[in-house]
Amino acid sequence: MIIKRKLLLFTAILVLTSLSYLANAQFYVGAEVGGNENYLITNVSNLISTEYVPINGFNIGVPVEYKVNDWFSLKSTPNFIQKNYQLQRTGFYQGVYQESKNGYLQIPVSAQFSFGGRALKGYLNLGGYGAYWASSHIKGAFANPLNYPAYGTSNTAYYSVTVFDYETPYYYDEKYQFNSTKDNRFEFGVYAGLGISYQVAKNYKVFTEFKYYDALTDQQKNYELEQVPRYNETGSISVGFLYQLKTKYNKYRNHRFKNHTLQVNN
Amino acid sequence: MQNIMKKAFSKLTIASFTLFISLFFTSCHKEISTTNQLGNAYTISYTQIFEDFWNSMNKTYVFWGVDPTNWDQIHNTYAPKFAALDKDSTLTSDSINSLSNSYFKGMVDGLIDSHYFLSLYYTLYGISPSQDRKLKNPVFIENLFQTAPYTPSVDGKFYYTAYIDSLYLDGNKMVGIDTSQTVTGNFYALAGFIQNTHILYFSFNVFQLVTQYNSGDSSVHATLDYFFKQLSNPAVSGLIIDVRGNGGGSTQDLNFLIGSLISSPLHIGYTRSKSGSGRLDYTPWADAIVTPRPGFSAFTKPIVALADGESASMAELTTMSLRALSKTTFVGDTTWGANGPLTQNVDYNAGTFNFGNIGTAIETGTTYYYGNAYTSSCMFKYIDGNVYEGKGFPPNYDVKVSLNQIFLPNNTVDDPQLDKAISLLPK
Repeated sequence: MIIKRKLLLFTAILVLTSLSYLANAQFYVGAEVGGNENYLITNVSNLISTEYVPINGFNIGVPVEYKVNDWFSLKSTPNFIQKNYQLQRTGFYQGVYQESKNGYLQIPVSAQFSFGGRALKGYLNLGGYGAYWASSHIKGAFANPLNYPAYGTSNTAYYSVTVFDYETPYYYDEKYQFNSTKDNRFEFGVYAGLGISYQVAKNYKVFTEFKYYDALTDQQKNYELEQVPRYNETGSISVGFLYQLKTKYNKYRNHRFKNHTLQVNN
Repeated sequence: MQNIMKKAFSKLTIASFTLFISLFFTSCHKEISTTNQLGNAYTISYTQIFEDFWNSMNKTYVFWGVDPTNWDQIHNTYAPKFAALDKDSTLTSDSINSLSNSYFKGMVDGLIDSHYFLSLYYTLYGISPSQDRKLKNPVFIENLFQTAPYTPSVDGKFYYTAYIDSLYLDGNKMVGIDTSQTVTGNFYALAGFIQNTHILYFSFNVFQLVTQYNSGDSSVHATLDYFFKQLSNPAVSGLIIDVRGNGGGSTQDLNFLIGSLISSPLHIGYTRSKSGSGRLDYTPWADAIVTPRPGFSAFTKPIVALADGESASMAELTTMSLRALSKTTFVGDTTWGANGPLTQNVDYNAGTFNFGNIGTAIETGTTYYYGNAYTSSCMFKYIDGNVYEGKGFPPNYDVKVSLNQIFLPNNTVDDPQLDKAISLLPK
């Protein structure tokens, strides 16, 4: 009976504390843009004179922050992010390449831990994300096996340095056709971010953040034996702002401020 | 109370953060293994030879996108069989060789690549899946001539050139022969007018036209010059290009031969190869273009392309190129079905490869392999959107022949396919 009472009391304190935190919570929404570099993590050591290299992309998002207290928030930034890379050949085959510009619709969800002063703060985001591979555009060149120069003319240099001194290049710049057997268009991974925010005005703050997305899922479906996986790893730097919304809670709280001059730690 | 909770939360946060960061960055270092580069894997067992072959095929074979062979199922079926060759001590070396030959044959039997030839050096055994399929057809020309009263050809063809020369062409015909080719056999070219007509006829047995024209026998050079000169002869009423029995050769001949019939680039189809090591990693389709030959103008008279089941590779691309011209009719039989261009593997990380590295001779540095797979580096899609690999290109007029139609009772021969071609052209 005493245990039941204590349990009831504990629950009541917990609920009241939570409500107190909720009443204090602030809701922010904003916008951010940034640039990034994506690495395709795979292994092409079995292909001769072939490598993947990272290339730059951009990301644009709508950050939503739910500030629980001074040092802890829940944050999500639904965004469009490019995860680009390039497959290229080296040595004699330099000039043969394929640049892939991949657009993802991504929703990261993270716990944000803040530290620092009242206006200038540092913060750390830790969380995960889910993404949908929405678009892909490929651009590149390779030796065209059936497009020779006219007989009697030649593109063979006296001293041939690359494959294109012998062969006619085929250049392309087109939308990638997804292959439903091969391409895994859903991606899940973990995410960490480190940023600084500055409270410009009562309801505004600006921020800059370095984010690191690490895919845990293969870019390919499991469609063949002995498959070599491919993972995206993306580092981005974003800038943006957040605007504090006037929620019902805030209105209610303001109302209580006026009528009861209640002191609330914020 | 709140201060105590804050401190506790802070400590918990730091601990969680440390743990999370550790886990996070551990996950970043993904160890991804892959197979060795082609031919680099040193193999000392049948299991390893099998895996090297299976992986090389998986990575470099260009037709997986259209080939019905279930390569994963092949692995599941044959991996235990090859493993058993390593374990069964009761097997003699002869029986092991025989079994491994049959296993390799079973693995590649259904492949559509009709250039495909698997040479098992170690057991001195060769497998051509397309040849095996064709020999099962009783009216396939090679089968047909098994029972022929004689094989009248001197140039590797079954019955065409020598008799066309004497029975169909007029006295101004040109014959070029180069017997110096030790690897590909004799080169044979024939050009002239069909008797009592203005129909120009041209035939040759191997696509070595550029090579022969530049450095072959003078009789070949003269024959080719004669043919190309006649293309601008206004008296010519039509043209027959006969690539029956022609097994292909150099793709450079496309611009040399077809380029002499056109005045603007001719789009004949598309090619693509591999863009990565995944089974379905492909480049986009590149336009396959025949470029006009300087100094030549468009040939505007009707053309008949003659080809048959022995016309392969460049002979098929030539037939398809001719068909891409508006005034061409294709007469004969469905072609062999080997359209994919070939080059060395390194060019596209696709195509022909050695497998089963069984050692390197210390004195010479030569590496020895269990076998070699000769296979296309690129896939070809015709301008009509079809991939004819493994199927063959079908004629407009399918003229099947029998021995009775060829070997006539009066001890002479006839050529029903050429008869049909002549009937379609103005005289």
